[in-house]
Amino acid sequence: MDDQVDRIRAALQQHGATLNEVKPLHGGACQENFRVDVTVNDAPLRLALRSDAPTSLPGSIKRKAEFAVIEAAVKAGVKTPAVRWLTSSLLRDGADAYFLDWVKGEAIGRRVVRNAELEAARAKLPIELADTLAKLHSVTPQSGTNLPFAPPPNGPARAAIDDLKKMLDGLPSVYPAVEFALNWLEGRLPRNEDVVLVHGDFRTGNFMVTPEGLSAILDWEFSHFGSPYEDLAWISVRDWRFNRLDKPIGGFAERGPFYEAYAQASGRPVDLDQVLWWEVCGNLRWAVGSVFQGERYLSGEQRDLELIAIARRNVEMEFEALRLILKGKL
Amino acid sequence: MQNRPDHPTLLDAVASFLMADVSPKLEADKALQFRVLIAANLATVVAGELRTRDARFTGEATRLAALLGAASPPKTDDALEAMNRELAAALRKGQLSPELQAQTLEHLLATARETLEVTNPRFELSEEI
Repeated sequence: MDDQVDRIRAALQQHGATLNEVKPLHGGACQENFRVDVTVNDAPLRLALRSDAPTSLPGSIKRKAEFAVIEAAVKAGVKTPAVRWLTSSLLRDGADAYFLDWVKGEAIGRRVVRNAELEAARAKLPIELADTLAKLHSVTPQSGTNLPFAPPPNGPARAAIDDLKKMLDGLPSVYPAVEFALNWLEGRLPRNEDVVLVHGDFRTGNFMVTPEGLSAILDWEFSHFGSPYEDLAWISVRDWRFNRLDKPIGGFAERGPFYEAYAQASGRPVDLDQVLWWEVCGNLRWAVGSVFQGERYLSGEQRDLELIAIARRNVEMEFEALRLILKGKL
Repeated sequence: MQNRPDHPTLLDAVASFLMADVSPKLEADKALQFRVLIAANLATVVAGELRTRDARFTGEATRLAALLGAASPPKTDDALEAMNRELAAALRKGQLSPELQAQTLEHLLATARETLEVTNPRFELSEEI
């Protein structure tokens, strides 16, 4: 860590910032994040530092690509901390990292859905989140030509299924419940899909809330060109309700007001059949994703107990996907 | 081979030690305390899985054999795994008739329920949430 601190200090000096303190932040099982206090022009400034981790989940983009995505999101009017400086080989050789603005707020999921002082904020969240999502989804492959990825050639739904199959085929074990749900999804592929810039991990825990409301969207590592329904449905995936199952939007709101606000802000009416499709798909993605978190541990490269503990939780997400299929509606 | 105290009991003892003796000493390091609680939970889950293993194995094996038209249920872990591979492959190819699909969904939900009752007793298992 001492060596890393020296490297961080040197990188900051190139931008006229003097390092005062650097502190690791826990809370992301995927990336390495730090709080960095610096002095610039004699004034104290707090920044965040986000680095490529030794391992990551399939579908995860690197910090360099993330930097470009955040620039595009900020330009579209999305509330997210602006990025400042991109560096290469900062914490480790070959690992890119960037400094970004520090934003205050609560991001821990169970606190966002339960803390008493956030009650007024929770009432505003459906509309604020819908508005910011509509802004993000206004970026298309035609307008976002500087982004480092291509739209899926056969459409977002096909791409999601193919990605899941590829992930499954790379695993030593088999998951019949996931295969069953994939089969169900293939039988009812959405048609005429819009393709937009999606966040890819749009859920409680990845946005910051203050008593005044939404302060920032975080964690762009799964961003890509996809269906707007990916973001609209992911926030309702069971695990992201943080035990508030009665509140299908992120554990804090009903579906109706969120979908209505999104339709109004985006001009895109919300089709519940497509939400259901992507909600089943989202639960599957997290089922397979949780197995892969365990594989990151088993690879020997990242021995974090939290990763291997998540590995056996796939059955929770599998149950939810099957439950939705049995019910056939939201 | 020594079998007293048995494996689940030993794991429960580890969990109880981590929860009652270690965790309270770690108030100053919340991140470490969180990981100690994860460790304790893992030990509890594995203890529960060991205690209920035979019943869960029989349930899954019996349903799988019926579903795949096998003469008798698998008896070993390897045989059960092989049958699950057969089911997974059939599902991937989309080969199941509508009747078998309904029966498969029922089997997969039952298997998930039987696991969740042990691994996460607080998980809401009703179809309507």
